[in-house]
Amino acid sequence: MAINLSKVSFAYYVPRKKKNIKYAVKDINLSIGDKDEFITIVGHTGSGKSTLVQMLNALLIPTDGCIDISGKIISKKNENKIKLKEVRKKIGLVFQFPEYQLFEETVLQDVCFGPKNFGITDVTSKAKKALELVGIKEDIYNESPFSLSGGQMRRVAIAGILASEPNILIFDEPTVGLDPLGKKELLELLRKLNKEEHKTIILVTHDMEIVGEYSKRVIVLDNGDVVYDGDKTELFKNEKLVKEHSLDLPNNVKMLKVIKEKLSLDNLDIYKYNTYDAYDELKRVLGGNNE
Amino acid sequence: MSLVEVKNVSYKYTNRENALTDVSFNIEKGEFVCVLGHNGSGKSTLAKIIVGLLKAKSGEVIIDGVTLNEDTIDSVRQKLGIVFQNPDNQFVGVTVKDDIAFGLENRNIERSEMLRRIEYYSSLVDMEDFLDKNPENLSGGQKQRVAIASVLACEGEIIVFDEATSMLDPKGVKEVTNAIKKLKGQKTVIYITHNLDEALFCDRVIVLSKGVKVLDEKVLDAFKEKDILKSASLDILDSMKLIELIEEKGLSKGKEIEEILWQLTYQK
Ligand SMILES: Nc1ncnc2c1ncn2[C@@H]1O[C@H](COP(=O)(O)OP(=O)(O)OP(=O)(O)O)[C@@H](O)[C@H]1O
Ligand SMILES: Nc1ncnc2c1ncn2[C@@H]1O[C@H](COP(=O)(O)OP(=O)(O)OP(=O)(O)O)[C@@H](O)[C@H]1O
Ligand SMILES: [Mg+2]
Ligand SMILES: [Mg+2]
Repeated sequence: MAINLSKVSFAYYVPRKKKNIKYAVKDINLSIGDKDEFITIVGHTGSGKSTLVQMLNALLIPTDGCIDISGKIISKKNENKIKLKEVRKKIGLVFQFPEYQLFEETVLQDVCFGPKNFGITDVTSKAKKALELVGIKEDIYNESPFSLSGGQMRRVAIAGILASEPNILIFDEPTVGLDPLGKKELLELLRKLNKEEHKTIILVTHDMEIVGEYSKRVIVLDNGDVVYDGDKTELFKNEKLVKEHSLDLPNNVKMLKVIKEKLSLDNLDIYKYNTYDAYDELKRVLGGNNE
Repeated sequence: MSLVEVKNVSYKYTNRENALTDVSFNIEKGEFVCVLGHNGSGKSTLAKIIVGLLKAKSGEVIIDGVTLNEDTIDSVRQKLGIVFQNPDNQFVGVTVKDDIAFGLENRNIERSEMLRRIEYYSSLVDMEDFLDKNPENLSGGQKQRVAIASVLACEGEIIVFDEATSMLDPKGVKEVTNAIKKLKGQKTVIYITHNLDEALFCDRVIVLSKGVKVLDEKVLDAFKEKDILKSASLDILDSMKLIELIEEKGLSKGKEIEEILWQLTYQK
């Protein structure tokens, strides 16, 4: 079981002369497992990331090509036959701008909407649990979601998807606007959902720390094309590619790289993605005693 | 006299707890001040009060010697610019070009200068090929780039950036922050962000927590206040985390490595 994209293209506007068409995403072939994957999607501003993930939950229908979600086909041809609710129950998406996801009168009602709509039981208790997980306190349950700060809105939108318990969770730049603690808590939560409940997690992000520390597989888009799909460390090792596609190295890798050069530590592995691993690697090569 | 004086400002939205409580600070002309704080700490509220979009419930804001109020706001606003947290709240034009032009028309900039600025600022943010597009039909990062261009084009004296680069790719962040850095000494900048690395190009850091100012320090000193930062849901720089671990656990050549890490931090 998986999501398979074959020759998927999307254009926001189809002109009468089809040869003038401008695709936001073109000719994409991808296969995404519906369990255990942790994927980040990265790439330059306007490269097609949001367009791609909106197709994955049938918010946008491919202009050409088709998406096969465990045997259910999504394509222009059978647009009217697609059971949208079924797709979205399985595959949840949090938008890049959470403002456009929120619409109910109160925060709590908003988070209840998804699970209620998908016929899930214990809606209110699940919604409350999700709100707690994203750090939203009871005192604003009854406020309008539109009276919240940017980061609070983001948290509420994320809670709505968590409460709906989809198999595949897709987040479009979920850590934008979150404070450092909120970001860390969210990512640890996603890691746990991935490890313990085998959920597939897909994150669109510009944050190389997240790519390094959390994802297994990384997909790079450029101008609507998939230009890389594979292991994150292999990507970071290819610095030409990193540069060409407006990316960067994670902070710990950058630091280790400079240390390696300055101290000529030939066998230092610089591809470490958090402080602890970076320290352990330095210790492995240098020894742990202060001189 | 400081260029911006925030004096005992408090603010409360109806039926909510205080969003800001008795916040005071001054900003000198040419200074870059970074504002950090947890979600809901009052950063955007403070930004809107400084540019006169919200009125403080008590206390006052003085810009270049003039106290903000209904009578003075129209003239003072010419000096102020703000890039909103959500770029969609910024757009007024049906094309990118109109959008940049709008603020300039309001400032009675003459046409040839207007065209020059549209060209200059749209290419500064790499959006010169999108001038005829509707800002609503752009990607998130493209919207942010346009919002930044529209505000920079007005060349106001004081510019507030409210998480203005949060959706840009790493190269885009570098380009835009380099462009902002070039304004050092000429413009006064209030830079709201959650990205600690971006705080490094500012002179000073103010931290809000639950609407209260809990820290106001020169930038590198601010990052030494670990406890205050942690209690405000913030963090310290990755370089400092590694230095801390080396000091705690020991490492041969540790001192040399710490020196390298400090240099990397200062370079930014
Ligand atoms: N329009 C509004 N109506 C009622 N309450 C509001 C409104 N806007 C903000 N608030 C509340 O005021 C407090 C401060 O919000 P503000 O937007 O200033 O925070 P912030 O520091 O910018 O947060 P973030 O990092 O999430 O953007 C929050 O508790 C928020 O819920
Ligand atoms: N509603 C729309 N109408 C027309 N064109 C659009 C629309 N949304 C996006 N586009 C265009 O499609 C292309 C891909 O946009 P998309 O939003 O998928 O990019 P992205 O990779 O998510 O970028 P970002 O990192 O800036 O969010 C861009 O050139 C953009 O201008
Ligand atoms: Mg996007
Ligand atoms: Mg804000």
